[in-house]
Amino acid sequence: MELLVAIAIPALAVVLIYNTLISRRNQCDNIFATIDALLKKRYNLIPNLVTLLKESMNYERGLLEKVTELRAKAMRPGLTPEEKIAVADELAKPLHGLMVAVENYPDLKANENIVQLMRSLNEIEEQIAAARRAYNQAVTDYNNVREMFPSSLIAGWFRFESRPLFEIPETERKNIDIKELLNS
Amino acid sequence: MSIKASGLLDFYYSELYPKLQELEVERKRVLKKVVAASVVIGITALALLLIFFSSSGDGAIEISIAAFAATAFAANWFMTGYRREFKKRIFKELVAKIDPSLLYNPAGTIPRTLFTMSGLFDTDIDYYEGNDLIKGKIGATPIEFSDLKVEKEVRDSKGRKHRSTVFAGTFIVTEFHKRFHKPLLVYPDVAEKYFGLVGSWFQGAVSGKLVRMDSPAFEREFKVYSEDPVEAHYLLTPVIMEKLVALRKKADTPVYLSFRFDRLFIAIENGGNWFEPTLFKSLLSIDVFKSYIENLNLILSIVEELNLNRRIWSKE
Repeated sequence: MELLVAIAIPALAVVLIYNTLISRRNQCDNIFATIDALLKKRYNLIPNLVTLLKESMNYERGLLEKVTELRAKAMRPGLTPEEKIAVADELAKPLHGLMVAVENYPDLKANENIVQLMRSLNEIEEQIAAARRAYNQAVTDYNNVREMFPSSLIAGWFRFESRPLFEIPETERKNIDIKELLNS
Repeated sequence: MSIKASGLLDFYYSELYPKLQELEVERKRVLKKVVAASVVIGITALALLLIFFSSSGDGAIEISIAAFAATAFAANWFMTGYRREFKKRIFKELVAKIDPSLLYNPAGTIPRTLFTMSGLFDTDIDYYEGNDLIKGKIGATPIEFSDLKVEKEVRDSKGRKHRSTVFAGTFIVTEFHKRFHKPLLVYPDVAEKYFGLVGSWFQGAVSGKLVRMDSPAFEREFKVYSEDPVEAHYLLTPVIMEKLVALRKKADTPVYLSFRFDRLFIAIENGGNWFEPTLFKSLLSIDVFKSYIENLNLILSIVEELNLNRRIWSKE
């Protein structure tokens, strides 16, 4: 009987810790899937945006081309999560540049389609920023369990790999102020 | 919107002060009555104790409770007229001065359906009352709030009925400017230790899981429940979390929030006496007047502090 208890209790502890690790890791994966979906949503808006802006914009050809090119790069299949985030970060800069540049074109600002598109883009940008914050929090929770004793032992046996945090780029941290644009 | 205290001080001295002086006479009269009543009740209670219970000591607690309740009832009774005058002549004027577009109804209350919709508190309640309803728009954002006292009847171990408070304080309902799909509930962290006990009260309401937010200062004050951690971070941006911590500290009392049905519900558990006239303190004290303004400002500035007028998302 004693022997049974002596085996059962540690076994139960291992199972519980293992399950915690799994659920924390799944949480990270779930949130990453959300980021992925949001990035796709953002990419889907880009062709529309480029088409609408191309006719009126004379000085931002470079930005438009850069955005189109990076979108194509991001849409390539088989990217690793790190690559996906890297391209997304690279794309954020010219995209924000475009959104700010709209400010200089009164006819664009008056265009209902563009205003609507700007609202959608802005919303997605904020959702992406939120998802990345949530992801980092989930990774922190996962890494904490993974690194703390005694769960670190089980994490080691079952090869639970450490996850990197995504740096939140400055461009995503602060919202570009398109309030003026929409008010005018 | 922020209230300019200096402009209001002029208003206070020129318009309100003469009226407050009249009401101050009334307050002193009411206070005398309350003191007299409590003395009479106290002596009666003592006499009853001596006459009937000197031998056994049974019922001492019951008599004390009854005496206390009678005193509270008497005080409330004597204050009725004084309270009504204060609200009509002082508070109503003050609200109108702060923002003429705000509607103030001293007897009005936030509808019970809105209280239920928030999902923050037990909905199996027996008493629902409130007063001091203020309603209006700040910029593009509608806001309404009132004091609420919500109670339920419970039986103690001896089977005696008594009222237990579900919520007593200021309840605010406003529109939230971002689209969201899952309810999000924010409780003060102190409530957590009672969750085991009262958890069943919130049947269905706290259906979400505990979400850890990425702000240590916010995490110290609040606990967040939602089924979608991404949406929780979307609604509670770093700026909003910072403002909520500030709100909680300024209010100096537990604060509850709920994002449900496109609305933001905020419950400030202050006992519901932020906008009541004083009984023991002089009405002429400038601090008393300032506290009315500060509390009003705290609520009305929520719309601006949380940037609820910002309409740059797809939700118009």
